[in-house]
Amino acid sequence: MNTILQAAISGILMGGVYAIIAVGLSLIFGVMRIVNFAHGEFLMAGMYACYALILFWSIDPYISLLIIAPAFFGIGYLFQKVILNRMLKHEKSREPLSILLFTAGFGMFLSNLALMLFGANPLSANSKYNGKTFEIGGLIVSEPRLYAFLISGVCTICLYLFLYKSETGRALRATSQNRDTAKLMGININRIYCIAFGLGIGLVSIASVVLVPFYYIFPTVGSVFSLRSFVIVVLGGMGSVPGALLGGLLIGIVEAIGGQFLTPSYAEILVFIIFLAVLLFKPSGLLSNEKS
Amino acid sequence: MKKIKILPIIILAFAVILPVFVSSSYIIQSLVMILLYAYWASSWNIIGGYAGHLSLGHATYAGIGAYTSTVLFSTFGVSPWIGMLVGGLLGGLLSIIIGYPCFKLKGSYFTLATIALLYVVQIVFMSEDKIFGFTTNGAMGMSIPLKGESFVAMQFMDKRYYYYIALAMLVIVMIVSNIVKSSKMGYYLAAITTNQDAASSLGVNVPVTKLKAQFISAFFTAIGGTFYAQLIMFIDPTRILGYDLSLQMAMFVIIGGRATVWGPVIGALMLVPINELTRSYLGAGQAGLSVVVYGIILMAAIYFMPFGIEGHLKKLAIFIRSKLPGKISQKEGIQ
Repeated sequence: MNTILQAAISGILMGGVYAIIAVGLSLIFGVMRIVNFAHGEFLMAGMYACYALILFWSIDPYISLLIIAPAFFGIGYLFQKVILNRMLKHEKSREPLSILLFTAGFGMFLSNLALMLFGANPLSANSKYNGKTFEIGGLIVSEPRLYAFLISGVCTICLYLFLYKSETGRALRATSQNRDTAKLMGININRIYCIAFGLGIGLVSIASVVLVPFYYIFPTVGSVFSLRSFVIVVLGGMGSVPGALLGGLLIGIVEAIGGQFLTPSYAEILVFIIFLAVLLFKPSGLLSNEKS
Repeated sequence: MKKIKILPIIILAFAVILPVFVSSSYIIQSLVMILLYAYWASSWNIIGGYAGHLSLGHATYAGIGAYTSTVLFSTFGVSPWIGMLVGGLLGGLLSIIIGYPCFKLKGSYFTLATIALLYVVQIVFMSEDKIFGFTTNGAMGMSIPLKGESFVAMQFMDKRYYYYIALAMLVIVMIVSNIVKSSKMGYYLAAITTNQDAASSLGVNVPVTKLKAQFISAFFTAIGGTFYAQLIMFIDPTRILGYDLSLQMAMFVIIGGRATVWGPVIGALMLVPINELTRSYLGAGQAGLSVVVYGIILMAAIYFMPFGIEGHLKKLAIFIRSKLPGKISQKEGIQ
C-alpha cells in the first residue's frame, strides 16, 4: 500500500510538470489550430539555457526563471510574428497542415543543433536542490519535484486568471472561439497569435527550469515530454486549461502506478491506450470548450 | 482522342537507361533510396494528399510489411516475393482496423491518433521477442538470412536489380495514383477534403471512400517495407516502425506537392539527394550538423512553397511555353 501511495505522490508531482507543458501546447492549439510539434524541443532548449546559467553564473535555477521565462516568451512571440504569421496568411484551411510539418522540421532542427553544440551525453546540472528529500509520515517526497509541482501549479492558475480576468485574456479566448468574429470585434488577431505562441513557449520554459534539478538534459529529452503533452492535451480537450491540468495529473498518476505493476514500456503503452480510448469515445476531451 | 503525354515516357526511358552509365554502387544505392522514398511518398499521398488526412503513423504499415516477409522467409523459407503480397494485405487489413475508428477524428486529432498507434506498435515490437509466436528479436532487430545471389530470395549482389525493382514499383504506384486521382473515387476524395459534410450530404459514402484510400495506401506502403528489408538486409523497430520514417513520407509529399501524381516523386527527387549529400559531406565531422542543414532546407522549402514544388514547376512550364514561338502550342494541340 505504502509503495502505491509513494508512487501516486511522485505521479502527481510529475503530473504537475506535464500539465504546464500541456497547457502551453493547448493554448497554442486553441488559438491558432496549430499543433506545435516543436514544443518538446523548446523544452529541451529551456533546459540547456537553465543549465548554462547554473554552470557559468551559478544562478539558482528557481531564480533563473525570472530570466528564462520572459526570454522564451520573447522568442515565442518573435517566432510567431516573423515566421508563422506569414505562413498562416497563405493557408486557407482552418488547420494548416504545412505549418504543422514546419514545426516538426523546426523541432528536428533544434534537437540536432543541441546535439551539435552539446553532444549526445546526458548532462545533469549541479544545483543545491539535487537529490534532496522530505519525509512526511513515512513517505519520501523529493524536494525539487515538490517545488516543480508547486511552481507549475501556481503558473497554471495565474494563466487561468489571466485568460478569464484580463482584457487580453478575453481577446485570446475570443480568437480561439472564432477568429473571424474576433477580427470583426476589432481584435488584432495577429498580435493575439504572437501573444498566444509567446505564452505557450514561456510556459514550457518554466517547465524546463523546474525539471533541471531532477532530470537529465539531453538533445532528445523533448520527445519524451512532447508525446506525453499531446496525450494530455487531447485528454483534457484541446484549448482547455483546466482540462490540461486534469489530464497532466491523470497521466502522471497512471504512469507512476502502472509502473508498479507493469514493465516501464507497458506502462507507456497504457498511457497511449488511454489516449486512444479518449480519442475514440470522447474526441472533444474530458473538459472541452469546443462543441463537437 | 486520348492524349498521349510525351514527358513521362522520356523520364521513364531516362530512368531505365540511367544505371547503364553509372558504375559506382554507392550512387546506385542512393538512386534506389530516391526511388523507394518516391514510392513511399506516392503511397502516402493517396491518404495524406488525395484524402487530406495527415497520417504520421504510416511507418506502422511499412514495419508490418517488412516484418511479415522477413518472418515468413526466415521461419518458413517463403520467398519475399510472396511475403511482400502477404505483408501488403496484412498492412492493408491493419489499416482498415486502425482507420475505421480514426477516420471519425478530424484534422490534428487524426494525426495525433496515428502517432499514438505507431508508438504502441513500436513499443510492442521493441519489448517483445516474439509477436504472435513468431521470433522478431525485439529491439535487437532482425537480419535477413543470406542466400547469396537469388531471384527467389530477392537478394542480389548487383544493386542494379534493386534499382529496377524499385523503379517498377514506383511506376505501378504512380499508375495507381493516377487512376485513383482521375476516377470517381478521386473526385469523392477531393470533395471530402474540401468539405466532408457537404460531400456526405451529396451522397458520397465518406467512411467507405476513406477506408478504400487507406487500404490502397497502406498496402503499397507495406510492400515498400518488404523491399526495404531486402535492400538493407536488416530491420529494427526504431527505423522501420519509427516516427522519423512516417515524418519523411509526409515531408516529401508536402514539399513536392500534395494530391498530385508527380508531387511526391519531385519531393523525394529533390530532398533525398540533399539528405544524402549533407550526410556524406557533413555527417562525418560534427554530429548533428547534417540534420541541422537538412532541417533548414526542409523548413525553407515549406516556408517558401507551402503548396509544393510541383505547382511552381507547372507555372514555370506554362511561362516558358508562353515565351516560346507558336510551334510548341500547336504541337500540343495536335496531340
